[in-house]
Amino acid sequence: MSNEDFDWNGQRKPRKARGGIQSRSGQGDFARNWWARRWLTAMERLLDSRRLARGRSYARAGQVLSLEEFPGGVTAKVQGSRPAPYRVTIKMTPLNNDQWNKVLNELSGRAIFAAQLLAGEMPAEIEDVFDAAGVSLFPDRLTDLRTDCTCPDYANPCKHVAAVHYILGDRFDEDPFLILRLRGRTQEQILAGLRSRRGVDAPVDRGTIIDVGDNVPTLEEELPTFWEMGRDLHGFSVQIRPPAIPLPLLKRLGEPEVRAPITLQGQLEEVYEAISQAALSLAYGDFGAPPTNGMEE
Amino acid sequence: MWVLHAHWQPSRRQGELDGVLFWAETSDAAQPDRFRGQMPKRFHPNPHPFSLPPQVILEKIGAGTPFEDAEVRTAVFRLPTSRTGPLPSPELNHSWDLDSLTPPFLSPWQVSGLWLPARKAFSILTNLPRETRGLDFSLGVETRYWQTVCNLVLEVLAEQKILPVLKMHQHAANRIAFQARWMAVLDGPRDGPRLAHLLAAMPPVCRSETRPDRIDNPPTPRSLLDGFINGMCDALARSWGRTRDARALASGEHPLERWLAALFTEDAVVSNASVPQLQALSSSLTAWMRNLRASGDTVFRVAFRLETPEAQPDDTDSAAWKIEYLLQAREDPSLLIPASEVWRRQSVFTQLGKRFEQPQEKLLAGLGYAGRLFPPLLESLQVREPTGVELDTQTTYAFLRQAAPLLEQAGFGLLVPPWWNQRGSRLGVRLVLKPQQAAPSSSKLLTLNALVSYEWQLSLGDTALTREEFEAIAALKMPLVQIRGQWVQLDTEQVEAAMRFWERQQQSGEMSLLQAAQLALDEQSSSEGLPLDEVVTEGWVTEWLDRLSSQDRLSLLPQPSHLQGDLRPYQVQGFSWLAFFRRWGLGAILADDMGLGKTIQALALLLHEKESLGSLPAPVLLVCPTSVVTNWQREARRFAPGLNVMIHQGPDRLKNSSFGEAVRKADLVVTSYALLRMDAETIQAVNWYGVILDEAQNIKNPAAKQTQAARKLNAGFRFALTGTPVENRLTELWSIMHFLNPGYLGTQTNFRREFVLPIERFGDPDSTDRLRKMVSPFILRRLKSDPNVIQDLPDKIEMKEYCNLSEEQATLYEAVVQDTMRKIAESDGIERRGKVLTLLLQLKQICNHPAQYLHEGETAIQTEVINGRSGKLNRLLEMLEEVLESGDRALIFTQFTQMGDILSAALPHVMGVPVLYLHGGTPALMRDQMVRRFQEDERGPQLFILSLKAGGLGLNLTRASHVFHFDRWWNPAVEDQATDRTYRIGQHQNVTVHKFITVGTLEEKIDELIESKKGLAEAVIGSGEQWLTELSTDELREMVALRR
Repeated sequence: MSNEDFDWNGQRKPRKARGGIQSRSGQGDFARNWWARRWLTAMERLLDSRRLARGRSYARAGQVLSLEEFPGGVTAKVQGSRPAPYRVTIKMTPLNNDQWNKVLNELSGRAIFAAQLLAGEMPAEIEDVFDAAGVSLFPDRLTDLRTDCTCPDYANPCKHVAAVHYILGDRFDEDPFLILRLRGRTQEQILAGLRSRRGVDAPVDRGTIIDVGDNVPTLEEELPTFWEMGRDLHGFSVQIRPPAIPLPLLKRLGEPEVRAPITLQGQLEEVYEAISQAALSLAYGDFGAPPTNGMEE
Repeated sequence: MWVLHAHWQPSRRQGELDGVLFWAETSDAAQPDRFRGQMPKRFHPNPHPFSLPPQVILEKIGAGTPFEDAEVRTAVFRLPTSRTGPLPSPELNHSWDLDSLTPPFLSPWQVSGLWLPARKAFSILTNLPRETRGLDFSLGVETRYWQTVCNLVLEVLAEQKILPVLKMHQHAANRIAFQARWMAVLDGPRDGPRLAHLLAAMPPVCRSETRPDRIDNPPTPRSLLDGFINGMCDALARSWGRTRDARALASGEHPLERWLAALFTEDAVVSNASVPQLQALSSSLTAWMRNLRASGDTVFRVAFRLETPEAQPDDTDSAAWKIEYLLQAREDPSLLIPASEVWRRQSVFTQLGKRFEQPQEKLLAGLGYAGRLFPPLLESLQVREPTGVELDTQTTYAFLRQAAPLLEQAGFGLLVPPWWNQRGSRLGVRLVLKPQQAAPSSSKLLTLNALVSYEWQLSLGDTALTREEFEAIAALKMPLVQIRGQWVQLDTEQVEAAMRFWERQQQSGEMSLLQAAQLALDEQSSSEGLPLDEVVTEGWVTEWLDRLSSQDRLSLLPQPSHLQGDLRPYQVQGFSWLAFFRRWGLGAILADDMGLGKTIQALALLLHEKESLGSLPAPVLLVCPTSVVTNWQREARRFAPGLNVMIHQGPDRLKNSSFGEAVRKADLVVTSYALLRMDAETIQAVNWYGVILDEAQNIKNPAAKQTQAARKLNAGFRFALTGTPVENRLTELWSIMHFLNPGYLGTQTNFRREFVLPIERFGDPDSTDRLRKMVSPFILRRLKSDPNVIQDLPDKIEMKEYCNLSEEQATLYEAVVQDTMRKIAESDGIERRGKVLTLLLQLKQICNHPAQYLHEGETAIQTEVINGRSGKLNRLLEMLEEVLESGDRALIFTQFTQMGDILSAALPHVMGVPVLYLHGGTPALMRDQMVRRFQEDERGPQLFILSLKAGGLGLNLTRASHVFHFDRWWNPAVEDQATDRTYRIGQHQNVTVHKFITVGTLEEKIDELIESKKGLAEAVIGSGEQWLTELSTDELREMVALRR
């Protein structure tokens, strides 16, 4: 191994990873939302600053090759300096049934908790709810978090664990239910728990549910009308016009939480405009030739 | 003829493209064989016996289209089948004798066709004609269905309602591929009901493809429709979106760039990114797309209902307005479930057949999302079971103005008060129109440039606002104001528009009546961006506008005293209506159904003018097709003998100054469209009192020479007569209106963009409504079925249709008369009698059609009969065109089987529609079948040719509303009997009987004889044609000689 494999303070550089998951943050703060930041601060308190810095650059460089969730934790592969990647496991201590019941009782008192969670947002006051139930949501104590790595580093958590933490932070941004899952309850379990605490708790009578889904007739049943429209299309109308505001859907959704050198709105504005124009000119322009933008093969 | 089918084939495995297989059925194939014995249950498909080879489709319509690049492919369809093989689709007009007794069953048939990938198929589908009348092919029902869906695809793309998505395909345990696709997002307020409409409409044939070796379950309509919309959107966006920015993505390395770059490649596969990278991206994108569904699911959505307070709330009242939370069924927006009810429901419930899954969670998620767009809403979520939120006026306005459109776009239901965004609740303008001069009296000459004075005013609701009043209201700075019990909205944009309005120079002046009509009748009239709310009129302008926009408020004129015969009440109304337009110098269209007497109404107008003025100051020009020039002459002579009628026709017609001189003595000059074009200079040199275009569909093409010649005429008034439903054929309507009232409908280009395409192609109801309001005052169209017309009509209207002989007919006629009369003069007794009867027969044949007299074979019939060889046939074709346009049904009687043969070959050929043909040799079973098809089949043929000696057949053909007697029996009783077939028991509509008479021939002579001896007719000629043989040679010569 040559000298270039070592950095200034004698640390071995990791092997260059191909096809790894890069954290969204290129530089500066990781995490976009307060709850993901809250998760990272919780973790950062448990690690020394040198390992944290290494973990950050691992995460940014895409050294984390994969990340998979299992009940109560995650496993990841991290490319270190050895040819075989290390395996990292992070587990959170689940809350017990009693603790969850208390939390759910609190959550069900105000609709805003479920509403915001379902809309992809961690309610601002959720920590108060956990506090009131006498538990914590984020891992504030070492006993809340059990980490493991196959690397030879004596310290635990090591930089590989740190790198996975940062990547996990990105997942929290996307899915506020993730941390609740790691605490032992899935989204469905939580929602069912809240539902049962609302309204008159009439039991679900599955017998009365009539499935009116796709009740499609067979072709044999349709023989008498085989060549007919089931309904006259005279009343069917379309209005072909440019959008009231450009990029309506991208504006509705905003940008995805992905660290990338481009934005969807920036990159696709011209594309959407071209598509819209082509459709309009096919509808109202010369019907003979479909528009090409000079871009057809 | 043949029928073109378009079958949507979604891709079945990765690497395969979505596409459309175009195939066709043809009626040129041989009569399919009949299978005898026990029907086998087949799983292995045979070739479809009357499908058109793909190469032939290519030859017929493929040149210069994407069909040139098509692949020939085969597919297997399960089609309704009987003993004679697959049953043809209803669009196929064939003359086979098929097994209709065996109940149809499904059997697989293999067809081959032209396959095109989605993008090219889209181009074919949108370019195929919507209307195939007159072409040698029709579109199959599923072709028309997918054409409609293509319109929706265009809307989706134009409105940018597509999103890029990342799709994972797992081939095997370890092989995962990711594709970048464009997906249509149809979750707007109208989309649910529209998709439901399309699903219900999908013809079952769309689902009939199966595999060659075994029968699959057919795909569901929903999967086919979703697949078609997404497949087409993806294919088109992939190609149309390949801009500079799109191509620049190809060099990007980030997974996001790799994904986006694959949106524009042919195979859509995301390359140069690892599976974990794309899985991470996929998880980010899933989170990103979550809010796309924030409004609910495919069955229901979260909705907000704003309640209006009773009275204007105090500015400090923080709970004056209330927004209620509800769930709403997407396909049935009237099905609403309030939140209080939702909190009582469990995880799944059904209501009125709609299945609501996880209603509480969807309501919560929707509220969570809405709270991001409109934070005041979050306050209401601090309780256990929120049902709504209370707001003050300013916040309510912010909700309506900013949050509501965003929420609506995101698929939420918004139930806002009825006044919101309505005219009258926003700043608008009023137009005050006043007489600029005294009303022109009806006896005075035309007032073509009659002017009205106008004044624009700013208005709010029903009130006109002065500048001071406006500024006082604007100073309130309240966005929602209640003025005299009416809520109005007042936003910055409108306030700015109002400022521009005050600064504008021209707030009053003078305008023409046509301009005034245009502003008053177009609901999109506006000034400085402020909508025209109201037109206020004074003096005679009030009366004028009132009568213009409401045809029944017309004051009726007395029937002109020199008119022979009595006008029916609706005809009095029609001629008074024409006189109203004449008086105000506006052009109009009289578009009554054929048979209601447009001619007599026009003649009544001319007599009325002549009587009220003493004499016409200048002649009126009437332009009509060549075939009806004589008819006009006869009608004028019959109903208005007081009018001096001059016919401008024939090789000896007058030109230039001699024409100008001659017309001065005439009241009415009748000429044809052909001569209007050929003698344009001569005719345009005259200052006409007025011009009337009969069969005005002749100027439907704005670029045609005769249209331009018509537009250049100098005339005091302009009218158009037509029997076709002109309001449904927009280009034709524009052209006629442009002749009548130039400029009223704007330029042709604008008209096409604003009305023709949105209405004809996309069925836009707003544009339809707007145009109807603009043009309906100018069109008077009464149908025979209108209740107030029907009461004026006898059950049976008889009309004589005078036709000219063609040159060929006239020459033949004269030659036969000359030759045979000589022979008759030289013979006597039975021989003479026989010769006379032969002469009569031959002359009748010639009057019908030269091909009938010359016994031309059927091959000649197909191509030659239409070339203007018979004046009668020409006229018949013109009139049948109107019958078909109006959706009516007609019987065509002839006493000659040979003429029946000619008609049955010519009509489908020229008009492109199927006809029924019954003659002496038709077996009784088939006869009954034909009668049933005509009487009962909704989509059965509209035309029925009957060649039979009348009497004794007892056919019941009550569905026809027109009866044509192509030739005459000379016996009114026999003719009546034939006519009566159509209006025997059960007839609820009037029947118009058209009797064809060739002018100057023995047909006309005998007709005159019958008319003059009505009472004697039965006695004299009741016995048929025998009496003619008793005439002396001179009398006979007088009878048959051609009068030119």
